[in-house]
Amino acid sequence: MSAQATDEARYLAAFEAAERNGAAHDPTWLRELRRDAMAEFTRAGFPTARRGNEPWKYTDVRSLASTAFVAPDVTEPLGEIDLSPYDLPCPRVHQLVFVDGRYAPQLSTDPPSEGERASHVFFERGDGPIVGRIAEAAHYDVPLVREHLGKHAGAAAGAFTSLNTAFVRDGAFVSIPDGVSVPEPIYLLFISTARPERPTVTYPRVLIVAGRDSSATVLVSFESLGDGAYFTDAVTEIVAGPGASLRCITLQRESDAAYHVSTTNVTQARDSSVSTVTVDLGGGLVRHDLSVLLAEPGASASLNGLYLGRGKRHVDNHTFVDHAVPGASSDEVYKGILDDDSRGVFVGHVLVRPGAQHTVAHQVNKNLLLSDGAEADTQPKLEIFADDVTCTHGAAVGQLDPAAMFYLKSRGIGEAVARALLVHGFVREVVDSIADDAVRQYTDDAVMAALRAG
Amino acid sequence: MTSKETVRELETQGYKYGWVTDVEEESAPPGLSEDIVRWISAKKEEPEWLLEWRLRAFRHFMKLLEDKQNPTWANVSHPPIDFQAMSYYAAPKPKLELESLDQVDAEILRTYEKLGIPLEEQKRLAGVAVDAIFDSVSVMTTAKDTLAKQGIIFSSVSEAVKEHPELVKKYLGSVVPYSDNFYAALNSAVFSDGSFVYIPPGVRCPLEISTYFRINAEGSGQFERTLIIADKGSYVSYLEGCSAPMRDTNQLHAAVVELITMDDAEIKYATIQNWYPGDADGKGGIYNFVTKRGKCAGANSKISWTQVETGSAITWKYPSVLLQGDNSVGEFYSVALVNGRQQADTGTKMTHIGKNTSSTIISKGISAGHGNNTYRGLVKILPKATGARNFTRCDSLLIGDQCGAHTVPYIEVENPSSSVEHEASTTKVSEEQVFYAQQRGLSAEAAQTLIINGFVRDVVKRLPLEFAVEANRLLELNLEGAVG
Repeated sequence: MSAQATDEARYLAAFEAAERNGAAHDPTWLRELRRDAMAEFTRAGFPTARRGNEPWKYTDVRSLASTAFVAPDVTEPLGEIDLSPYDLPCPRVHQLVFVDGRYAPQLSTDPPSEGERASHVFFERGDGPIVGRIAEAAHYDVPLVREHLGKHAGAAAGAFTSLNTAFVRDGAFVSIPDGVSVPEPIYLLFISTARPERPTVTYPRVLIVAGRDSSATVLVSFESLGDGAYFTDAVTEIVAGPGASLRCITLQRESDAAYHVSTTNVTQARDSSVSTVTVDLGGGLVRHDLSVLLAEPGASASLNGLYLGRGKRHVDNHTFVDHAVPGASSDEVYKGILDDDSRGVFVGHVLVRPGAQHTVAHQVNKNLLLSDGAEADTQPKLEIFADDVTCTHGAAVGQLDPAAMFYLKSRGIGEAVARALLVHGFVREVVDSIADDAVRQYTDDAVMAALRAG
Repeated sequence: MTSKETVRELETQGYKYGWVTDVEEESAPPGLSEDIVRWISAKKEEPEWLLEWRLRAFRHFMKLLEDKQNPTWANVSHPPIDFQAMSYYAAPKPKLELESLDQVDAEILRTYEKLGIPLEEQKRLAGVAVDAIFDSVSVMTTAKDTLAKQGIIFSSVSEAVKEHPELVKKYLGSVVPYSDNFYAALNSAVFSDGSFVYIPPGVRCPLEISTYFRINAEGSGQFERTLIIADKGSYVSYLEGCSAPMRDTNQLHAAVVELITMDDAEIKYATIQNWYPGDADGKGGIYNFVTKRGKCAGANSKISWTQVETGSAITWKYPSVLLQGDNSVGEFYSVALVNGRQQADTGTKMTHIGKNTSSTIISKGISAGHGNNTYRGLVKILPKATGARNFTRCDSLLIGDQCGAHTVPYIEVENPSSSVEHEASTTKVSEEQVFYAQQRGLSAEAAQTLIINGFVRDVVKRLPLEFAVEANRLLELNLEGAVG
């Protein structure tokens, strides 16, 4: 118990130090938000209990909790970073890059100049997307940020969310004004230098607000330049206005020694459609909590995911779809490939609340187990309180079809390539759910490269 | 006929087995203590080892109770149970040494007649051997002689303890140890009676063996314990049925059932559970907290659970199979119906340990009124279980907009050569199907019944004929409102 207390105390000390240093010019509401979140985190503590801790039954975060992560050194200048491996096969239009939690202006796109972004005018435009920093938006007290930051992923989202909120200073703020359709993908890149000397912790934060009848694609990428241990505690809040159409792709390629815990909360208004695709190709211990609230009739959500388990990787995807009103629909497909001594966990919870008639909810989780040491745990959970609904779920765990392997081998394709081809075919469905050509191509290349690397 | 009307009718229909039999009962004073455990053991003239085992279970239970380790994970809610307020033993008095039916108390016989239990001589010809358990004590075991000729032992556990102590000692608690869970610990401490079946090697049991449970006395709990052992190459089909009088107070039924199959043996275990579910407002009814588990200890053995759960205020029950022997097979077929304020949290656990083991789970849940029905299951494939297979299908049918249907399957796979499939769906009775049937001249009610019968058919057809008839009758009774 006392060790537990010190784990949280370490973060409390870091929080107090950060609040003393330069938090003074933040607006009061933001300082209060952080303070309340820290209190909540201290109260809840890391979910390390091994008994009766259902949401963390399959994922043990004791080693994460006990590691003394430190904040990255912000005084150190950023070295040269070659971004070319992370270029999308399309022109760079909207790109924000954060390195070890710090905004990297030289790597981010214009618009515009730094000066132009840092003005009221930038945050008030109505003719195009606003891809800016939370720090600046907070500085100018942009109403949308005040209205939404921390409101969708609150205390109920768990200790890791509170911890992120307690340290929220910067991050990406994306706002699509009413009626605006953004043709190019918006690219948010979070890079960890992952130097082995000392383990660092960062708190990437993303807020996406899509206005009425707007449309956009956002790619959130987590990349690593080294192979050290570090901890990424990410929170993304997505708000889709009436009739908005939003596609959000998360590509996670942290180092094999990294801890990656992310919380994504989506709130959808009438007739909006949000599609999320979560692709896990890296990390040591990975946990995602994705919650979608279908708050108004006609909303539709599509949740897709694929995870590749290698080495001792542990990937845990928890999804929750809340059908709070009648006439909303959700469709979910998660696929896992588990090799070596990896472990894949999927817990998909669909709740149909009383009165949410005419709900359509489908959910599928499929896993390929490729080695003796791998393990797949899946729990597709339906909780239904309305009768006029169509809900299905399915789960499967199996292996590559030996007949298909034989077919490929008989045509002169080697074992490794044949395996990669079949596995690629297996996850193709998820990659294909990405509508944007450039993002799909980029993701597919990343998946194929990760499969070949084995 | 609107679904609202259906719901109302479903809610208001009565419980047909709710009378009380007026026989003199001998019961233990309410309360749970070491003395009560000793008293029960002494009453049953048990050997020292069994008393010791009960006491170990009792101490374990009291520790769990102290540490507040009572299970809270199930999707059911009820006020805390006062384990000191109930009586742990009730027996019809005086206890007779029963040789034939005319020695059984006439009131009890009438009770079983009302229940439609084939207890009489001529019914034996119908091929059913019955062990009837009235409150805590086994009243009568029929067809014992016929079975004995083949070397089959079918008796109450109390008798088996006296006559075959070596078998009971060897197997009691070998599948469900007293430390298994909260209610198993309680049962192990205070279990009163139950059925004991042993099928010798190579014997195919010629009769369906059956037990009927009835809770009669007020304020008593029933804690029966059933132990079935199928030795190498043997086969037995076992049926149990349950009912209880209508009472305002909740009664606890915490049974333990253990099944063991050796090489090439097979046990089919069927349950029709129709304990009193409480009234429309959720007052009274049985808390049915049961631990049932089978162990396929031998290669090529098979254990099959079939259950039709229509009664009880709360059902908390997960008939499970440990698939230890290579090529062993586990099956679980279930229909669970909730109505009124009933709550059911039921499912199964299939633990694949041996090679090429396979399991099938078919679960059909029907929710009506304000009932809540949860399927909770675990399919676990351990690393050594090469070539293991599982197929799971859980479907839920909702009748009315005040009920709930939930599915909580856990799948844990640690062997790459195994394959596991799970499918589930939740829907209401399709308007299109009703319309189609109506077009062909059926009334809406008849159409609904037809559709529900079709929905549960996969499970009901697994039951032995006599039970299939009873199951259909029970489901019809419970859906009488809809049938009109």
